[in-house]
Amino acid sequence: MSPPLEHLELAMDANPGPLLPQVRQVLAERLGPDSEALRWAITGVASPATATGPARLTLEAVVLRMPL
Amino acid sequence: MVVPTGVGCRVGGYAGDALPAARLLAAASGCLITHPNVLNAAALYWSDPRLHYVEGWALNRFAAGELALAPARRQRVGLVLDAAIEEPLRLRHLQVAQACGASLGLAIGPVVTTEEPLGVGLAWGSSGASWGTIGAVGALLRAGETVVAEGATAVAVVARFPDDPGGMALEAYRHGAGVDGLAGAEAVISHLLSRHLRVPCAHAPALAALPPDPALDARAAAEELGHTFLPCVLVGLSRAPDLVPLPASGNHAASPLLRADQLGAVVAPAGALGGEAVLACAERGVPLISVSGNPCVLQVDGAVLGLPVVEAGSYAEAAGLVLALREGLGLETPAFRGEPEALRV
Repeated sequence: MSPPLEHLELAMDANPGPLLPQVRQVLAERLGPDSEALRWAITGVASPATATGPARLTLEAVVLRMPL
Repeated sequence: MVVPTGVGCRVGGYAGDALPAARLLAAASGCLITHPNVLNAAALYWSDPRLHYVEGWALNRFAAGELALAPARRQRVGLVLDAAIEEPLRLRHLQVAQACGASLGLAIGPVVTTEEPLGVGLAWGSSGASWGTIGAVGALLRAGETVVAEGATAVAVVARFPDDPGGMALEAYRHGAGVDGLAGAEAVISHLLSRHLRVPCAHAPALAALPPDPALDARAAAEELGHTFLPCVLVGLSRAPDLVPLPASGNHAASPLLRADQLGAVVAPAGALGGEAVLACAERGVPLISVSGNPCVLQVDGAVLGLPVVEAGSYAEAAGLVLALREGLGLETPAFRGEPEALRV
C-alpha cells in the first residue's frame, strides 16, 4: 500500500492567460480522481516564455492519496 | 499577507520574524489576513483585532473564493498531542495549555492524544523548499475529530519532530542563513487537519531543547525561549475567524463575513509568487505588492509568471502602498515612485 502523502515534482507548460486554471488542470490530469494536491506551488522556471513557445514551469506538490 | 513556509524567506522564514511587518500592514490596512507562519513566534505572540489568523489551507480556499471568514470573539481550542511525545515534554505542553487558561483566560480543551505516533518525516524538494510527511494520517484526523466532537471550535496539534542538534541545516537556520527544515512538514500537518475538520487549525512542533548558542540569530531566537512552541498557536487560534463555506448559509449577521472579493491588496515576497493564494488573488485583479527586500530560495517572480505587480523594496514601502490604496491614491504617481513622469496629453 502506498503512503498516504507523497511529494511530486513535475513540469508544466504555461500558456498566456491565467495560470491557476492551468495548474489545476495539470494536477487533475496527473493525479487522477483518487488523489489531491494538499499543498502546491510553482517553484521554478525550467525555461522562460519565448515568442514561439510557452514558459516551462516546475511545480512541487504534496499529494494526498485516498482513501486514507 | 503571504510569506510561504519553508522557502527560506529572509523575513518570516524563522520564528515569527515577519510579525513586525504584519503589525505594520495591519495598521496600514485596518484588516490583515495572514497565516500562522507569519504570526507564530513560539513563546512570543501579538494579539491585535486587526490581525486575522488563518491557516494556509484555509487561506488558499479563502483566496479562491470558496470560504469566507467570520471574525470570532473566542474559540475553544482543543489540543491534539502526538503519542510520540515523551512524558517530560508532554507535561511541558500540558502546562502551556493550563497556563494559557490561567494567565490569559483562554478556553482550552479537550486534550486528546493520538492513538499511535504520527511518524513525522522531513524532506527537501529540488528547489530547496522543505516539505514533510506523516505516517499516521488517519490517527491525526481521528484525534482531530474527537476534540471537535467534544466541543472544541479550533484545533491545535503538537507533533513530535525529529531532533537534529548537530545537523548542518539546523545550524544554518539558527545562524540566520537557511531554510526552516520543519516548516514544510508543519504545513502539511495543519493543512491535513484544516481540510478535514473545516475549523481553525494550527501546528506546533515538539522538540528537545537545544544547547544555548551565543551566535544565535535574533530572528530564530523566539524558538529558544521556552520549552515549547505552543503559546503562540493557542493565542492565535483563540481568536481565529470561523471558516464559512461559500455560498454561506445560516446567520452570520452578528459578525459580517470577510470575503476574497473585499481584498484590497495581497503582499508577498517577490520571488515566491507561485502559490495558490497569491495566484488566486492576482488573477482576480487584486493588486499584488511584491516585496523585493524579502528574498528566498525561489525566484518565481511577476515577470516569470506574467503577473502585473507593484514592486516594493521593503515591508515599510509595502505598507505605504497599502495605505495609498486604502486612501484611493494612484500608486504610479511620481510622488511615490521618485521618478519624473512626462505629462501625457
